[in-house]
Amino acid sequence: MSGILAGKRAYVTGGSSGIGAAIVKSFAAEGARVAIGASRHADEARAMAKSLPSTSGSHIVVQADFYDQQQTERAADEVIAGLGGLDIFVHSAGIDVTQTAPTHQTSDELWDRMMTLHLTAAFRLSKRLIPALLEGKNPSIVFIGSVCGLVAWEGDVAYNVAKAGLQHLARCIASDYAKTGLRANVIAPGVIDTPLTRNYASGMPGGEAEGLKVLANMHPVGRYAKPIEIAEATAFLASDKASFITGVVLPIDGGLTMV
Amino acid sequence: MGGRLAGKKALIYGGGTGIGLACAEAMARDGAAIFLTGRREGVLRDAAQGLKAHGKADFATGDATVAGDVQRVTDAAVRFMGGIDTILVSAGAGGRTPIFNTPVEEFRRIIDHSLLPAFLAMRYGAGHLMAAGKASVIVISSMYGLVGQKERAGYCAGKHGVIGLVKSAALDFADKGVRVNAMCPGFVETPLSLEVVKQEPNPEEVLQAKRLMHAIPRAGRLDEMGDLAVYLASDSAAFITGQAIAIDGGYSTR
Repeated sequence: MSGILAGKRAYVTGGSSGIGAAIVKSFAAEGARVAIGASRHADEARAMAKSLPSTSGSHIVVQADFYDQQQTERAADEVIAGLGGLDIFVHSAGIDVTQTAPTHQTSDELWDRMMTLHLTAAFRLSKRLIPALLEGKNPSIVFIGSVCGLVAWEGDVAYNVAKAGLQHLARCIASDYAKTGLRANVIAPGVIDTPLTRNYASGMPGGEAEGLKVLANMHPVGRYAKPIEIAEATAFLASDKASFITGVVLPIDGGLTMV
Repeated sequence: MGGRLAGKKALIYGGGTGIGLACAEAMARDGAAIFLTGRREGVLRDAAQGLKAHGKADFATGDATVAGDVQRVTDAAVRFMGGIDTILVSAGAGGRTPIFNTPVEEFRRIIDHSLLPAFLAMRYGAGHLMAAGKASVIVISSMYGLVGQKERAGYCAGKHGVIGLVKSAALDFADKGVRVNAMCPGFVETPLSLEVVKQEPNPEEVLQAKRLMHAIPRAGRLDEMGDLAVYLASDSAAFITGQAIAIDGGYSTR
């Protein structure tokens, strides 16, 4: 079977775990050749690259620490060289909050880390990748934002503002390049079943099981999402099937931001 | 046959032509059974005939702004498909409605045609959708459900209203396995939209301007509407509800 991303060359940052790993798997299953972005978990990424179906050439791993500008730019160059060009860029790399605090107690260091990884890295990578994307086949950018970029989650100012910035960056890119055929969109997930979420829940009153129940019930549909649900939406937006969709922020949140 | 909508049972309002028919065709190609409704019998018959190339399809005429008609069409669709788990509503009315001189009857006509079909379709389809366990409602709004348009108070109010209806219904259905979303297309060249353009004194210029108003400088294509509808109807979109998704070439982004 050919798949909706057959023949596409895709770079997925944060591809070694969580949502990013689900996106990588979904892209490979849909026929794409993937550059899997990883920082600390490059071994897992390499194992994934070998095990995934590869119908349009072998997958590669690109390791970089996005807190470092040079490494970020080098990663972009490695992706383009390794895949021989680029059609899809997905920025999924991210960290969750480890501690919640109101604005006046948020450290500059946390602010800088959130901005750098979620927003500045997306900007730097986009700058470096867009010339290659413009030569690609119906190119598309998808950023993984968050419902926290739409609503003000209490105690999470740095993360919220970084994700809101990321979402507006996509709109600006959509606007700058609409005439060229390059599209840019955002997926804004609610709570997703990932190791980060379980870790977060374990710190909630009542422990992990109780915490997960509270997180599920925040969503009108009464559950949180599976990573595959984010991955399939990303594949749709990245594919030619979404060719008239650009500048959109799509919440996948079981109705969380409606209420 | 496989297909992402294999086994799905879709009732399509305004399914005889344009965006409704394009979505019906895309759903049929992906394996769904289709029941079309609309006002014009000949148009529906031809459309249903075309869909039979892909699988099960039938139709019934009805006015989607009339409760009795919607009830009858819903029952007919259930009889034909053995249930309903997908409803797409592509209905509405347009026309110039400047705020200064629009007769109240004309404003009311447009609002009724924008809101009643989606309300009634859900009102009478609810039991069947919930019985299906996993179900999806898709309402065709417009990018003018997200932004304003000069001299189109009626149309914009109606299309904005549809989005409020979708969000509210999505909450009512949220814990019952039924998702409700809106699609917000830009200008798509359909028999109806081209007919409206033809009424302008300079139709060619107007058509070109309508194409170029999107950030992606062209009109939306019917197959693009079908692709989004299939995705939203599929179980891949199981966590997406209450959304108004712009498919407008970036028009509402700028």
